[in-house]
Amino acid sequence: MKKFILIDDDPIFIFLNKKVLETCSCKENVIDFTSAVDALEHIQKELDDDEETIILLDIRMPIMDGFTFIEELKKIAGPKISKFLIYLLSSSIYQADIDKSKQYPEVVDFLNKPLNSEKMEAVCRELDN
Amino acid sequence: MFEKLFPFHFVLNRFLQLVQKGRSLSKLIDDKQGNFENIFTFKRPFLSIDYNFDSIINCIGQIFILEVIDTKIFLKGEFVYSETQDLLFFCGTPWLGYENILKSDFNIGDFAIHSNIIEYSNFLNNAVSEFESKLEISEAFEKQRQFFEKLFDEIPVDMAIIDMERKFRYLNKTAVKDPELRNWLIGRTNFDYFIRKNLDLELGRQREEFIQKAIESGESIRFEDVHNKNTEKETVMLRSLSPFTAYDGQKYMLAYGMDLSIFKRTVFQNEQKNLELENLNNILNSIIYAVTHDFRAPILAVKALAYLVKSGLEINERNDLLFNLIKTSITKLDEQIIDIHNYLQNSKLEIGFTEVNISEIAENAFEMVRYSVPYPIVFKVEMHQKTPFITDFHRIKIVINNLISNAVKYSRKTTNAFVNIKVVIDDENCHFTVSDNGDGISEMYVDKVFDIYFRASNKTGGTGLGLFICAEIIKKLGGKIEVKSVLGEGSSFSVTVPNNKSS
Repeated sequence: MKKFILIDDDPIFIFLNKKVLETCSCKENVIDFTSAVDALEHIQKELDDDEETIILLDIRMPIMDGFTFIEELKKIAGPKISKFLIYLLSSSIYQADIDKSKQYPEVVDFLNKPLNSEKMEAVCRELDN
Repeated sequence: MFEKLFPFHFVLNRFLQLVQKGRSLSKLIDDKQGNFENIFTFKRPFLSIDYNFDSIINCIGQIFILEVIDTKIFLKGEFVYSETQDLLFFCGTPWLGYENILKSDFNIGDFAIHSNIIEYSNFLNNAVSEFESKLEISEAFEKQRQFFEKLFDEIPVDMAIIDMERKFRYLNKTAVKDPELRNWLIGRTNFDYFIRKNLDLELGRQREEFIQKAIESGESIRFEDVHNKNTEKETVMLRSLSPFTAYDGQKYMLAYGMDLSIFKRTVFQNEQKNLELENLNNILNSIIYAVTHDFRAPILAVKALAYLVKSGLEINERNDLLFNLIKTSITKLDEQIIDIHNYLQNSKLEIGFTEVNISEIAENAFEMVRYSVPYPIVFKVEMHQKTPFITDFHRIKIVINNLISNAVKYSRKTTNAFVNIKVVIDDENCHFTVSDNGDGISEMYVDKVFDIYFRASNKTGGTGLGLFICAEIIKKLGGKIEVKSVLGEGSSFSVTVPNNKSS
């Protein structure tokens, strides 16, 4: 069982990403948050769950941005961080953001918005391997 | 009588012996033998004359010039023959060689009063021209003195000469403008000046100490003299005291002071300018980053939504929803463009003062946003105005629009949702407070709400620019903006801006 967490402050992107996930082969358990703080709270509650969790994470968000979210997640997850596979999902074409994402081993890939079925299928294939 | 007319006369007998001589001539030839040949040589006539009595008689009527041997003193005159006495009378007077006569111990009484007017006038002319040339030199000197004085007066440096008793000997115009005061200071000390001008005596004492130190050490001293410290009128003088010895061997102190205020002010202004530029650069970087991200996001959303519509993945009834989302995205993009436009307008446009009607601006601002929430909000304007309010219309409108639209955006759906604006206008200020009973802001973020691109909530798609622009505008207008807020209870933004009635 794979679990998907969508984090994006813009509800339109949540809507769009969910649409893409619906068409995808690996549509299973999808939860969405418009606030990284709420997402962290949820993750903390279900930390004992061992199932692999894929996080589609926006970078630029109010209150807590994507990078801070990763730092906080590492703190609360401890050794369990390995069950999280993070995909950064951003409309940023700012090279510094892309470079920064590479500093985090937890980040599997940096995906440009909008997410589409082709990209998602590629992600699913990667996960299956 | 003869003696008076010709004090240099002499009388010869047939043997060319001087049988009589004038008292002035006696001074010249006193100890010489009384024979003409031993005393005089003929200079004129010269060839046609011999040293005998008849030869002289033959030349009577001519002007004679005789040299007193070995003295280079010449006598000019005529011989007159007295038949009855058989004597030759020489009636003459010194000629040329005046300087040699003057070397001898003659005085004015030794010369005849008529004594050759031409020579006398020559002598006089010489004396006059000598006097005139001396006069010319002293005039040139005077001009030079005036030139230097003017130079010292015009030089933008305080200059003074102080003697070893710390008394002023000279001050230039830059040091003390008032000529009366400048004269008064000569012979007085710097401390006298401080007392007369009612200046800070502590500073005066310090200066006296510096002067004394320089006198005692015999070395140059530099110090900074600060007046009106930490005020707008602050002046900084670099003062220097250097001992020197004048042409007369006297020791003095040369004191000079340069006004560094302008220089320091320029440095300060440049620092301020640099800070402003740095700040502006940071803001521009934020905006550039935002453009690469925030502008793209709504466009990408529209792109994806358009794709969904086209692909027919959604059944037709739900296209309405997609189109609404497209509209939301485009509105968000538009809001950002308007915000950036407002920001640039504020930083670029000159401030223009007009009379503004705050309540009208507030009413219009509320009308624009009241239907953006699906529940009623009570809006109230409370005005306390006794005098017209003069400020920049466009800027104040942007601030009020932002505050009221925020109050509506972050309102809560309750039975008594309200937005109030209370305005107090007096001659000095306009003070207004926009308050609501909406979401409020967490204590953690309340200090950051005016930062560029800071968003304390993701409830609605804020741009993170609105309150930043408000703060920038209020800063530009010389006012202040403050916020008080309780999460879950509401916020109130207070603005004070000057009433520019006099401008």
